[in-house]
Amino acid sequence: MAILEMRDVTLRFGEGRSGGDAGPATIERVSLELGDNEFLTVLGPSGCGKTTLLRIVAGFEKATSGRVLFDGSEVKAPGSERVMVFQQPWLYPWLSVRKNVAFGLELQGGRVDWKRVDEMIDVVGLSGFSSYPPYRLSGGMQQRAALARALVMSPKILLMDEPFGALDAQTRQDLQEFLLSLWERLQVAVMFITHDVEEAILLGDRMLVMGTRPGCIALELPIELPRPRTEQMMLEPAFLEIRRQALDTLREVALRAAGITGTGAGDLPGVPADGIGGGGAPETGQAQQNSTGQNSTGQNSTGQKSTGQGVNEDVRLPGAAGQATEPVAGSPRGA
Amino acid sequence: MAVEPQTALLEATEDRRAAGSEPAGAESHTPGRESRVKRWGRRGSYVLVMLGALALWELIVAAHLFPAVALPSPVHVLHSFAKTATKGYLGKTLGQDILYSVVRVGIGFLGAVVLGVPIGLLMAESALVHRVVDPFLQLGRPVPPLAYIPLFVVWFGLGELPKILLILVGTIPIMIISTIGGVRSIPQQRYEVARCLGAKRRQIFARVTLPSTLPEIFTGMKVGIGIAWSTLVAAELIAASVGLGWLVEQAATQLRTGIVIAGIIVIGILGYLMELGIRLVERAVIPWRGNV
Repeated sequence: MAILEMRDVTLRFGEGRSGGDAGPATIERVSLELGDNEFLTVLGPSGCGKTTLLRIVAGFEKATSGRVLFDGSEVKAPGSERVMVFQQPWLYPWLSVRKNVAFGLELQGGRVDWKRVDEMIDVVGLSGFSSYPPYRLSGGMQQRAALARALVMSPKILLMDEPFGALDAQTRQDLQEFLLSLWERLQVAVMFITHDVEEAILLGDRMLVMGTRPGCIALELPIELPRPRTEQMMLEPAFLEIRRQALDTLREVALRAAGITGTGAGDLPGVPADGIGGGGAPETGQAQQNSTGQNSTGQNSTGQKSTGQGVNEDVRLPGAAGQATEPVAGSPRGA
Repeated sequence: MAVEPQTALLEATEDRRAAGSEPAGAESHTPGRESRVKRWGRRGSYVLVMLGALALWELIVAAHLFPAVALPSPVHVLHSFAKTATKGYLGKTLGQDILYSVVRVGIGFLGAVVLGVPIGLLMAESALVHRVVDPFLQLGRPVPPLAYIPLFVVWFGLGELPKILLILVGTIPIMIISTIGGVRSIPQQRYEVARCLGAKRRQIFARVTLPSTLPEIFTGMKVGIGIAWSTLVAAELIAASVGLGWLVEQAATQLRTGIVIAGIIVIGILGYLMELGIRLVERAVIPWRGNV
């Protein structure tokens, strides 16, 4: 059963909404589903809108169009059943680790279940550090405290925005394993954003690769590797095959993005001269249908599967390149 | 992977650099992290510099470069200080002068904090309040507090009220501005963490906005106490019958330069002690400052 359902979700930011080029990226007609307790990883280059996607689910951003259903009801505002974990731990420095973990529970009013708080601190391996201020902990430990703060709320989904991106390689690997062991124990769905291909494959049940400008889903891949996952799996053929496909897609996405900014875009057939969002959007669906229909390079040993509309199985098809480029070039932020 | 507290402690120190990927806007200086040897070395050098300055002063006086009335010797100043402290000057002891000045500053300054912080918070939280108050703030800020003295004397006479109000008026802009700055510089994620954990507006204000603003408020207080102190002394120079500014002014008219210099030194030391006091309170209230 799907805990999260996104249907044709589009988000364009109005002018002046985001200051400068560091502003949030737009996404265009994204559809996806997330099952109960499923671990979904979302891979994409920076600026592809993967964080925007997550923020929509969290309730921080409102989609311009499309539907976002969580547990059967429309997402309207942030809520503790969908807790986000950020790239930085963002613990409150004026609270001890224990008070930080209890932060969400204290908001609910009434008596805080401190036993549960301490258990959760124990689960993330910080029992000796309850009374410490967070800044006395290492980056990895802080991120574990942030995880405990999220998990103590018993969320139905964890929304993780490159949570290990700021950590050094060793700590990062430790935390990846740690997160998987937690996830297997706690039964929670995870939507995990990353720009690291290995991380996306190692963690997820399923992986989405996103394209840029506007953000869209370029590829969906099931990751049928046995669990528990280990570092050693990264050398196995199945892993490498998924990795190859993901990287191919990322390369394709990057090339397309570069093609738009170059002079090449104007030479492509069928690129609308006015090129403003409304005209381009409907064609996205067509292009995807075409590529899904004609695509013959998509079949492979790992068994790609398509969940139907909105999921573009393979954007590498040369024949569909012109059409595939078209809606991108027609996007509001085309260049 | 449960981490043993000890190994983790190592990790904690090792990884301070990794944790150095601190959120933007975090201050890098860590107060009170200086080693003991270094601290005493610094203090020792301060004392040495002061002693050197005193020696130089004594030398200049001994060389008779200036008339003794203009520049009395350090020993003479010390003597004037002791006399003013024990016997008083013009019927007021040094202790009384200090007490009056400190109480005036204390009330005026605390008034500015107690009023300025809430005004700043309201302005930061409500666009309407900001639009109403900001013009007055922008107009009033460039006016030197001393410019208000004649008006305040007309309105409130020569008592304590105009002096305290003058300090309040002089100090409140910096408190308002620092508070607004503090609210504005709160990283968005601090709010978002609270929101996705289910915080309501009021809870966010109390549990995120207020504590996050404290460091900037303390910065404002450290600047503000200096403004308050100099405003007061200036006010006492003009309209007072007791207080350190009055003491210095009266002594000067009678060419008692020793008392003037002693008074100035007392003013300096008290101002320094007030800032030090705020620093101590700050360290107790926000030990996390600079460790975000």
